[in-house]
Amino acid sequence: MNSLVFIKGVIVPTTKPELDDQGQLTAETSGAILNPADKNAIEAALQLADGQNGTVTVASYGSADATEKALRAALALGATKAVTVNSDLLKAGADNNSAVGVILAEAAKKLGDFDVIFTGDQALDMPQGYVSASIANSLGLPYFDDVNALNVDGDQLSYVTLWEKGELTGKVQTPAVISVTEDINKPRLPSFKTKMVAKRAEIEAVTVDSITVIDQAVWDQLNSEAPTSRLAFIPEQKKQAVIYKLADDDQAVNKLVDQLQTQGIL
Amino acid sequence: MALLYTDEQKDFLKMVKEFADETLTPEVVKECDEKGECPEELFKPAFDMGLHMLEIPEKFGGAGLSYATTAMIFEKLASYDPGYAITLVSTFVALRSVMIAGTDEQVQHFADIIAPGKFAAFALSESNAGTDAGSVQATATREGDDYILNGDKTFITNGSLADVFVGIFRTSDDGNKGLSAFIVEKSRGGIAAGKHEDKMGLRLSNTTDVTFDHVKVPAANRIGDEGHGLKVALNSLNLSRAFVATLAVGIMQRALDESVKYAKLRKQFNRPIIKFEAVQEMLADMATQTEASRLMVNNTMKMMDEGSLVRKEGAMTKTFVTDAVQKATSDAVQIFGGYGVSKDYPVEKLMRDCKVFQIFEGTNQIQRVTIANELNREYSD
Repeated sequence: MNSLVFIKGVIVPTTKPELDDQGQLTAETSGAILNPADKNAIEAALQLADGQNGTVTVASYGSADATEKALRAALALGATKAVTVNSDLLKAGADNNSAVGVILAEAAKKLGDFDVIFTGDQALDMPQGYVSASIANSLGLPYFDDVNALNVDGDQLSYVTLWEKGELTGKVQTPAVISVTEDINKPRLPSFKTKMVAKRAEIEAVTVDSITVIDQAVWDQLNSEAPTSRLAFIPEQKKQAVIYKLADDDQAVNKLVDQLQTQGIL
Repeated sequence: MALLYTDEQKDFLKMVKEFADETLTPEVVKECDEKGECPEELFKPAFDMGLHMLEIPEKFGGAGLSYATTAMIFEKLASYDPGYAITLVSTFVALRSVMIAGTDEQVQHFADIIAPGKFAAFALSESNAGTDAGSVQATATREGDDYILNGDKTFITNGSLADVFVGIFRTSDDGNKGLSAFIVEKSRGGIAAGKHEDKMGLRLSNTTDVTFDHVKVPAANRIGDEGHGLKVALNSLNLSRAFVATLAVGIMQRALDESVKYAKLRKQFNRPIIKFEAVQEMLADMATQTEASRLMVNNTMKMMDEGSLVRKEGAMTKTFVTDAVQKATSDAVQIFGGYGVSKDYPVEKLMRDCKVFQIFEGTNQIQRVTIANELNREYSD
């Protein structure tokens, strides 16, 4: 099987994040690392490729430094090809995972045909998990998220995916987009040899300069400016004790519900 | 740590830490130490990472790291267990000994055997040929295009694990000049490992006698010229001396780590014992000796990277570091007090593990002879 894995270099805080005077989270950071869940996605792709002459292409979109670090880490794990995705389409200030997903979908289209497009279920620095859904939606492919078991069954993949009421099992015809959890497998450690080879390996580039996978109007809407920062506040905690002395429990409950509704809590 | 590590070296150290945290947990090491053996499958992840071919050039399937970087990685690994580390070191030192005097074809052949995840061994010592390596009695008799190998080797690291050996055999009665080195594949038949030594330390390392009984190897397996075997052995030992010193630094660092942590926690007279000068003195000496040893190893490794045979420096480094580790581990036990001699605490093993470092790869007594001989040569004008 041939897989494409979208990966991300994430900046990890090395100290406990704190709110500053402006309501912004601050923490000391080190350099970018390969997003942990993406290691599981790469491992899942490598397992599908192992022994079947399959390929594992990794691609990343983001800042040059973070992208290169993530791609070289992926090559060290055994990925066969690394591609950096370049695009100026995303508006400055836009912080929209769905729009990023469209750009990645466009990149996937340019990179060729793949049996599976993998992602980690969420990025450590932005744990929303929208990107993979957007990729699948843009390419019109079936999508399964939070997959924590995957097996090849002919030209189909049998999967186990997590949802709020337990596990869901099923089969899907390839090609498909799959986001994996950190429970799906245990990522292999890189070998020192592949690490050295990865250090000087060529990284290819693909440029996305127009959107063809979705309607332009939808794209324009997705690619709208978002606030450059979101403020976080520590809510002021008001404490008040009120005791109602009523005749029976029913009256007490009704009184309590009234009060909670009045205060907008219910 | 006194060394200034490059980003790449820091990355490698992180990799080996991640590997060892997972593979060589205290529980696993304790169990193997008690049994006196290490299951072969425990080495599979090390082979997968290529830890047995770190400093072997990429064209032969290795990672092509420098000796200096390789040493840093093995120091870290040895801090988890030096017996595990020496199993891998012995494998690549055997290959290195082929590289010292062999042809590219021989090196490739040897590397192809171990690259997928096989062990190698260096078979020199015999029951009557230890420090006096030139008195090897095992024979290699020429028969046409082949040699027939016979004899018993003693204290062979990886003896019952190895799929390929570098063996030193007598090809003539001409004393030190009568020895030759051979690549001997286990698949040739006639090779039998004896009882695994029940050692006081390095118990995760496999050590056995090995008997060669009419083992036929082609003349193409001879490394270098006939009669040059001792030279191959001694040059290989220069390398392995520097590496066993590296492992000893790993043991020292572990002794220091454990001792400082314990001295901060253990209270007597209502104070942590690290506040007492007698303990401080031991810790300070331990830290100083560890730093000095690490620097000495690093310098020797850098000289090896530049192509030096480090005849004197290897001997000096091995002697200094492996003597220093004795006191460091002994003091670690002392700092732990009564708990120090208990097998439920980590430091008694360090003391057991380090003793042999003064003995193997040439005793520290013979190292001093080598150092003095080199000095005599240097000052001969």
